[in-house]
Parts: sequence; structure tokens; C-alpha cells
Amino acid sequence: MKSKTNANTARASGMKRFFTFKRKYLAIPYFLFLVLFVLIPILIILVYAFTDTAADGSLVFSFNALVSFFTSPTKVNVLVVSLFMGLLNTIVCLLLGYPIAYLLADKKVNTNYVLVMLFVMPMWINFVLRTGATRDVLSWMGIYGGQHPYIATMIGLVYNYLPFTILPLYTTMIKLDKSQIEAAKDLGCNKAQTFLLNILPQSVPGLVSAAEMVFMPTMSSYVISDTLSEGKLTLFGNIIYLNFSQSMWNEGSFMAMIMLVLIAISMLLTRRFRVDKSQQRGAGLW
Amino acid sequence: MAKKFNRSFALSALTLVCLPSLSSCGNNAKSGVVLHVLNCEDYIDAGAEAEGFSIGDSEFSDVLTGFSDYIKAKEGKDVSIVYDTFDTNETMYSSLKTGKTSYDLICPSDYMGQKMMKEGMLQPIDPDANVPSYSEYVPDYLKNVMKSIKADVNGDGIISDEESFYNYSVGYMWGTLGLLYNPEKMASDKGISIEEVMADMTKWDSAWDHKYYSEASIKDSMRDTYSMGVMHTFEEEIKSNLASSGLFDENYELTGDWEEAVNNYNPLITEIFNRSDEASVAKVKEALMSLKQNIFGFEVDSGKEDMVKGLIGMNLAWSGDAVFSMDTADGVGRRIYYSVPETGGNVWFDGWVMPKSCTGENKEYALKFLDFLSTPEVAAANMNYIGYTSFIAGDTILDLIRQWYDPRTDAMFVFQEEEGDYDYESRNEGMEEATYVSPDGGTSSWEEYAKEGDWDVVDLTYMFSGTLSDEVLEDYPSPLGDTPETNPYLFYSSEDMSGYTTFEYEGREYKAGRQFFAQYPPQDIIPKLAIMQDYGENNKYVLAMWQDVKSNNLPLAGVIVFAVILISVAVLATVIFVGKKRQHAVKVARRKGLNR
Repeated sequence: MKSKTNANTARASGMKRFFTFKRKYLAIPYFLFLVLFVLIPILIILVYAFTDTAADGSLVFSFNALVSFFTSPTKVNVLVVSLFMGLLNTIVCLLLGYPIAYLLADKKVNTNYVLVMLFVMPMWINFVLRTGATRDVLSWMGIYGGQHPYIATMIGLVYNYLPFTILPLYTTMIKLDKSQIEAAKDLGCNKAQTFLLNILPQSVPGLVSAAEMVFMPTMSSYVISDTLSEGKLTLFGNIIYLNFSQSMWNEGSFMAMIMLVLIAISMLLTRRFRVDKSQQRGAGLW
Repeated sequence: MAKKFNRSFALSALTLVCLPSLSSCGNNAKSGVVLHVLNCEDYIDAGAEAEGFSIGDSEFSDVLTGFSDYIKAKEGKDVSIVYDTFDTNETMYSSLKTGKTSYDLICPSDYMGQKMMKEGMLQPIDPDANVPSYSEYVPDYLKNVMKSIKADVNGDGIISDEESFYNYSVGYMWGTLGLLYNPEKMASDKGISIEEVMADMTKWDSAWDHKYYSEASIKDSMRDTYSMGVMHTFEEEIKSNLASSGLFDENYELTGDWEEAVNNYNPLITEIFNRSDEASVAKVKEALMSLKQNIFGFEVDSGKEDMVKGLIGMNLAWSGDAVFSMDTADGVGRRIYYSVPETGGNVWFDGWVMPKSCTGENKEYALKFLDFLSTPEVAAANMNYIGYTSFIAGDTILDLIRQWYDPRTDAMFVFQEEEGDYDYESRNEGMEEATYVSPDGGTSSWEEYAKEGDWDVVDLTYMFSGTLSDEVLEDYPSPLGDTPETNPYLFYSSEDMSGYTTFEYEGREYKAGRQFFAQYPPQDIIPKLAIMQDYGENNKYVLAMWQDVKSNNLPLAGVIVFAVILISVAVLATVIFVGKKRQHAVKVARRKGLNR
């Protein structure tokens, strides 16, 4: 008996010499994926953003794309419009999603998880299909995208991104510290004070991740604005696509890089909240 | 074109039976020649809905496997085709520039083919020597259109005849760009008469007219919309050219000699149509900016469906898409029309080109494939499937058009009550013997029926002259007579058979066209149509213009909302920051108090 065990151990240690399984090896497939499809493309974008094609087809370092972006009022304008649409969409989604998430997380009001599923269900259907349907519904209501491009696009954006705000807010709200809220009430806070000083600060991580989920995707989306504004509203995503489709890769890459920078800035701005409070609040869902 | 649909159903059933042959082509790939072909999506008679065709006694289920079978039967050689598709010319060009895949044949649009030729990506095909069917069945008009596009390919500073696009490309499909419109919808929307709408649709200006606010959708495509802007911006100049040429009447209809108009007037419109210098682009930009305020919207592919549904009343459309929309709308009882405005417009084509990488045996069979595509039987199958107009003319295509549009064919169906053989001879025989039974039970002879019809005569000499066989020509008593009975290049058209509608508005007589007009514009308007070439270096101006047109300023309300949001965020941040500092100060003070 004993000798058998020894033999097994010996075999195992023999294998150990060649290969020792460590948990971190599980990350290798994803790491490869990350390098191939995220890091290398980003590097390519950076290369194209700061180069220009010389007459003989080779790439030379240049700031032409940068100059052409910042000297073009149109492109800067599109960026401003996109920022505006992104910001407005975020705010509207949060204003609409917050009370819904609060109600859904309240066990007294909502005893069934199915209701949450119903609110999130639009996410299960392809958004191109949904947008096509939204267009039909809007034109049936008499809101023609060509006449009201901003309104139609905004309705479509809110409809599409609302589930993305409800879900992180819901997961935060469900873990609100109930005893703290009760304590606040006991200690004499009125309803407004309870909300402002207790519930709201507790749900900040959810708010932050919901906002992140909405703001940047809105800026880079273009199918929704294209379909619902009947092509009359151009967001940053459209103009990047247009440049690439016309073989203006340097200009297109520079604008794609601006998107990356904006994402980085928004991550830095929101990191504070994440590190501080989000550890166990389910805000890291996204 | 109701006949067309009946036929396609029968044939698609046949295709289902033939489907297994599709899968067998993969086996040949190893031993024989493999051709790599790149074409636009849905642009060949192949796939699940292919209709098939026959050449002589052999039946083929679709064009791609048909070619393999055809070569196998003829030479015993195994040739298979790897067929890929692209969605836009621009993505195709990008993927060629970056990709590793090389193709033997590609089918880009006119301007993109021209660009590829200029950049030296293509090798000459020399169709007169290498593609005999093409050389035989393509009318001179289309050959001349191809020959008019030239570029200094070898860079020696001289543009020779060998450097014309005709030498580098084998034309596939061609058509026009015009206005597709639904007069009934617009008339009821705007409370005006149907005739007024139809008369307005003969002018590019109508899209800018506030009368038609939010009725039109135009292409979300730089080149097509730019060309519409050019026709509007330089309209006065075009009109004065038309008048001073002495070839057109006050309604801009051709009254003079056709050849003369093609040779002398067409270069004028082509020059205007291809203006892309900075100053012209700036003018067109103004026009498109105001157009944007007046239209329903820009569309990529939704225009066809929106027209059929009746959501919009007017659409800038390519002729083949227009045919599709009109066919579909006929099916739901909606009557839409297609017009190329009276001042003229765009004629475009798509043609096969051969990249330099195609050599040896692949080149040999690629040329044979082009020849196969240019066989009238194959061209007819493609036309039937796609709905666009083939470069190829000849007997088979003549019969196809007569089946679709000649009211005499319709009459023959009434006479014989079943589908017979369609060729011209048997139709005439059938009609001579038959008696037409009108819905009220009365009977009349063929001649009486024809008179009741009030049919228009459409002249397609430019398309068919020189391509018909002697056999067909012999059927006509005097091949240059002035009725379709005597002249093979003349066609009858009637409203019932998707032809022309005549109407009067403000004392002037107009004709409105439908499918027949979209597929084969009549001889008279041909001199007013221009090819839009590659912008070359000027592409950057047009692109910048297009970005300006497509983007918008933030409206005032938006600016205010934006400012309010930014200010409130700033205030909130300060409040929180100050609040935290104060809290901290209070805590510190409290702790100090406790310590004391």
C-alpha cells in the first residue's frame, strides 16, 4: 500500500518537472485574445493616427491627421454634438432608471425577479432590429426622424441604453445597507435627507458604472442615430466610419484615438468611486 | 412584369431539384482550375433563388455551376469558381489594398474601376480579341461610353487608345440614376393634383421645392447625392447649353439628330457633371445643405421599402432598384413611377476587371468566364434575377424585353390563354389567327385590338442596332420602318405592361415612365446622360463637403441644455468637495475637543 503511494508520488513529481499547473495559466487564452484583438489593433490605430502615407506608399511620421482634425470645424463640431448626446442620454437614462431600479430592489414592491427580467428583456433582442422597429413606431406616432432628428435619436438612445442603467443600479440597490437607512430615519432624518445623505451616497458605485455603460457607447454608436434621424444626425462614430470607408485611414485613426483618450479620461474620473466603495456592492458587474 | 414572376416561381422549383450539383463543385477544386471571383452582393443568377437557363439543349441551374458544367462538357476541363461578395466599392477597394486574397475577376462600379486602372492594379483584357461574345453583343453606344473613359496608365504622359477603360473592363450591368415617386401619395399629402406632382417630377428642382417638404429620401452616399446637387446647382447652365445646341425643343426633348447630340451635346453635360474643383464643390455644398432641410432623410437601403410601404413619396434611386420597387409596389397595389428629369442625369455601369495577379491558366479561364457571362442566354438569366439592365443585347434579350413589356405579348396571352413559345415569329402567327375576346364578351381582330390600346412607340436603336441576327432581321418587311411591325429596334409600350403613361398638365403633354423606362431609357434621353468619373485628387474636397453636409451644429436649445448640465455638474462637484472638507474639519475639531 505504502509503496504504491510512493510510486504515485514519484510519477507525479516526474511530471512536475515538465509541467506544473498553476491557476494563472487559465488566463493565457484570454491574454492571447487581448493581445491579438485589443492591444495590437490599438497600436495600429496609434501608428496610423500619427503617420501619413508618402508618395511611395510608405508611412512617415506626421501630425497631419491631428492638424486636419483640429482645424476642421465640422469634425470638432461632430465631437461636441456627440458629447452632448452622450451626456444627455446618460442623464436621462439615470433619471429614468434610478427610481425604477429602486422600486425593483424594494422587496415590498417587487417580490419577483421576473419583473427585473422584463425590464432588461429588450437587451436580448438585436439592437439593429429593435431600432428598425422603433423607427416604425415613431413614424406611426408622427415623430419623423427627418423633421426632428435630435428628438427621435434621443428616444431611440434612451430606449436602447435604459436596460444598461437599470441592471447595475438594481444590483447596487439590492445590497443597500438597510440598517443604515433605518438608523438615519431613527436619528431624525426626514425623507429627503435620508435619500440625499444616505441612499444616494450608498448607490454612487451603481450610478458610476451605469453612467460608464451609457456615455461612451452612445458617443461611438451610429446605427441608432443613422436610422432614427434618417441620416440627418451625425455622431462621432459615423464620421470615423466615413473616413475609413473613403480610405482616409490616418484621419479616421486619429479620431478613433480621440475616442480612446475620452474613454481613458472617463475611466480615470470614475476610478475614485470604484476603489472607494464598490468592492462588495456589485458595482463591478460591468 | 407579372410574367417575370410566374416564370421565376416555376424555375426556382427547378433550381431546388438541381441544388445537389452546387455541392459537387467543391470536389473539382483540387484537380482543376479555381477562379476567384469578387462581385457585388446579389448581383448574379446564383444561390438559392437562382432561376437557371439553357444554352442550346443543355440546361444549367445557375451561372456559377453552369460555367463549370459548360466548360466540363465542352473541353473536359475541371474549372470551379470561388465566389465572394462585397457591399460597397469602398470596402472592396480597402480590402484589396490591405488583404492577402487575390482575385481573378472583380466587378466594381465605373468610377472605382477607373481608379483601379489609374493606379495600375489592373491588366488589359482586350475584349475584341479575347471575349468574342462581348464584342459581338454589346451595342456601339455602350462601347463608346467605355471608350470615353481614359487614363494615363503606363505614365508616359500620352493617353493612347489602349488606355481606355474599354480595354480594361468587360461591362456587366448599366443604368441611370433618377427619381422614383409615388404621385398618389404626394398629391394627397400636399393637396395638389396628381398631374402636378408627375409634371414636377421631371425636374431635379422639385426635391428642393418646399411644396414637397419631407417627402423625399436621398442616398446616404457621397457620389450619388453629389451628382444630384450638381444637376441642381448648374441647372441654368445646362438649360442654356441645351437651348444653344439647337438640338432640343423648349421642353428639352431631342428634335435634332441623335448622333450629333451624342457627339456634340453629351461632352458638354459630361464636363458639367464631373466638376469637382473647390469652387464647384462649395456651390454644390450650399445646394445640398438646403436640400437636407427639405427632405425626409438620407437612406442607405431603406428607400426601396419605404417607397413600397408608402412612408415616403420620392426617392433618389438607381434604375435597377427602381424596377425592384415598382415590381414590389405593383404587388401591393401601389403605383410608383421612375423618371430621369428632363435636363438629364447620370448613366452608370458596373464592369468586370482583371487584377494583375491573374495569370496563366486562371487568366485563360477568367476570359472564358467573361465570355460566358456575355452570352445572351446567361445575360438574360442575370437580368431576370437582378432586375438591372445587361450590357448585352441580341436576339435573346430582344425576346426577353418583348415578353416583359410588349403589349402584344400580353395580347397573345389573352388569345392563347396559356404560355406558348415566345419568339417573335410564333407570336405573330398566333396573333394573326387569334381573336381577342374583350371583358364584355365582344370579339375583335388583332388590328382592332392594337388600335384600342393607344400604345407608345419606344425607340431602342442605340441598344440593339448591330446586335440582332439576320434571321430576326429577315422577319421584318422593311427593317428601318417606323412601326414596331416593320422595325426591330422599335417597341410598343403600354401602361398595362409597365410602359409609359401619358398625361397633360398646364397645356403640355408629358410621359411618365415605369419599369420599361427604368430598364431601357428611350433613345431620345441618352445624349443627356453623363458618366460620373473618379474625382481623383479632388475626392478630398467632395469628402469634406459631404462631412459638412452630414454634420449639424448643436441647436440653441441643445447649447443651453449642455451649458446647464456642465454648470450643474461643476456646482455639484464643488459642493461635494467643499462638503467633504467641512466634514473633515468638523471631525478634526471634534477629535480635538474630545482630547481636551
